[in-house]
Amino acid sequence: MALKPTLRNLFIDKEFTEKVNFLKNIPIFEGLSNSSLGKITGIMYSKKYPADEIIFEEGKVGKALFIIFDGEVAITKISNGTETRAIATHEKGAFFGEMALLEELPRSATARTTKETTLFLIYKVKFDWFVEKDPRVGLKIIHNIAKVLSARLRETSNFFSKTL
Amino acid sequence: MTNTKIYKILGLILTICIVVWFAFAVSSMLMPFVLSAVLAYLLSPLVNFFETKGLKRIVSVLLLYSIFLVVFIGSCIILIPQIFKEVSILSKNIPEYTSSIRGSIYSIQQTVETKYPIIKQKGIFDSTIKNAEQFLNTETSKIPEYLAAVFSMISIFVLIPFITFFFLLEGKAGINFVFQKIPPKYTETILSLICEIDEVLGNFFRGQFVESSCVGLLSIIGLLILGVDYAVMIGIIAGLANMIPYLGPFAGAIPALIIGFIKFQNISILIKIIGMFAIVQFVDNNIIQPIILSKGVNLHPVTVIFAIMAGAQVAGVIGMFLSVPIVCIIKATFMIIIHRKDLI
Repeated sequence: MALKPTLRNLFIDKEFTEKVNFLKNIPIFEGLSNSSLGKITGIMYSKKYPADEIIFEEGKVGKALFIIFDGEVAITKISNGTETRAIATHEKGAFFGEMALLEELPRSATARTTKETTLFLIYKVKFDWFVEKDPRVGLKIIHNIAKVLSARLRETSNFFSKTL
Repeated sequence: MTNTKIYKILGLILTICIVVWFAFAVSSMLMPFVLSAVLAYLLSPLVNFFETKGLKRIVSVLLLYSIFLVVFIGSCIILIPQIFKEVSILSKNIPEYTSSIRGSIYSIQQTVETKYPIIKQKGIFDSTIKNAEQFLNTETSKIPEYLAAVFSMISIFVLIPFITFFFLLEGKAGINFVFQKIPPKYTETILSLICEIDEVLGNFFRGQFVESSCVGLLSIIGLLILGVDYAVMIGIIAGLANMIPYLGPFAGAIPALIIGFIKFQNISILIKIIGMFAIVQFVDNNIIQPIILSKGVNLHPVTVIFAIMAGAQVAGVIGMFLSVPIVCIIKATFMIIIHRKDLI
């Protein structure tokens, strides 16, 4: 009876299982099987950032999607030329920079860590390669990204309609 | 620019210079490490495949090695008897070939000297044959040295799987360690560099490997059809030589031409062999390459030829094989530095 967990500990990577379970709860990976999420971990890089560190700056071309594994990230935007305004704060499980997976355009805001943060990065070239290799899963992810962007667009429209 | 930044840049340049100097100083013993690194790079997608199934890295590497061991033993059972058979026939036939070549040279000498008596008067043929014999005698006396070199090659091939194992096991952790040390500001740039180099190198190495295997197999079939001896050996040589772009296919055809001429002693077999290799290259260029996208390196042919010659000058055959991927890395780095300043 005790053999099964022992064998599992011997062969199965705990860190991998933890990553897959984490990705299950990320909206852009919704509906993906464990096997597909396992493949996603293969194109993912992880990096630890200290507190108050710039992740990317507004205006620079974005090439990667970021997922917060642990910590907190503030998104700021320059308004009126010089003034910096905080537009959102993201915590564990949130993601940002998803537009970089679709197009190579300048970032629309700056991302900065507010405390020590671990991020997962998915780079566009790797994502494109993944979509080419596994179009079924790739299409599902792109569909999920479209759903997220659509929801954000709706939120923005509602916000403007209320303020105007 | 602040003083600290200048010191950092100078330190970086000095470190690069020391690394390059050290690499040159120990270049003679670098070969197994370079080959292992290439092999580990080629095999890493298979290890990653097992890892994405949830297996630990060490288990994935051991599983891969077990599969390779089975494949290797299987190939040995199938191929080794054929190679041994060809080598033993070749060594048995060498005296016959030598006398046959001597006979051919003698008959050509007779024909030419009858037509042009001045050649006989000047003793051009005799002196040439004497020089050739002298050269052969000198080279034969070096056989023990060559054997020693072969043994050193064998020791390298024993060492390679051992080093590759550790590269496969620790390589990812090593890259991850470096990635963690990169200042956050440059993360996206370095990641973009790693991914783009990986993309180009992956296309090149995996493409070359598949392409060379196909060329080797097609050459073996072609040579068997033409009835050329040692088809398996020559096919393997042609496949390996094909890994060197442009020059490889010519180098691969030479052993077949020599063996074919020795056996059939006529020009028509040479034309048939050249024709066969041309067909193999045609199939390679028009069917195999477009499928596997091995030419995704996007380099100008002149650049490739220059790189191969420079590689040969610096590090011999290994240099020829590695020159194109090195140029690809340099190109990818420059493209990011020049065209994507916005990333830096």
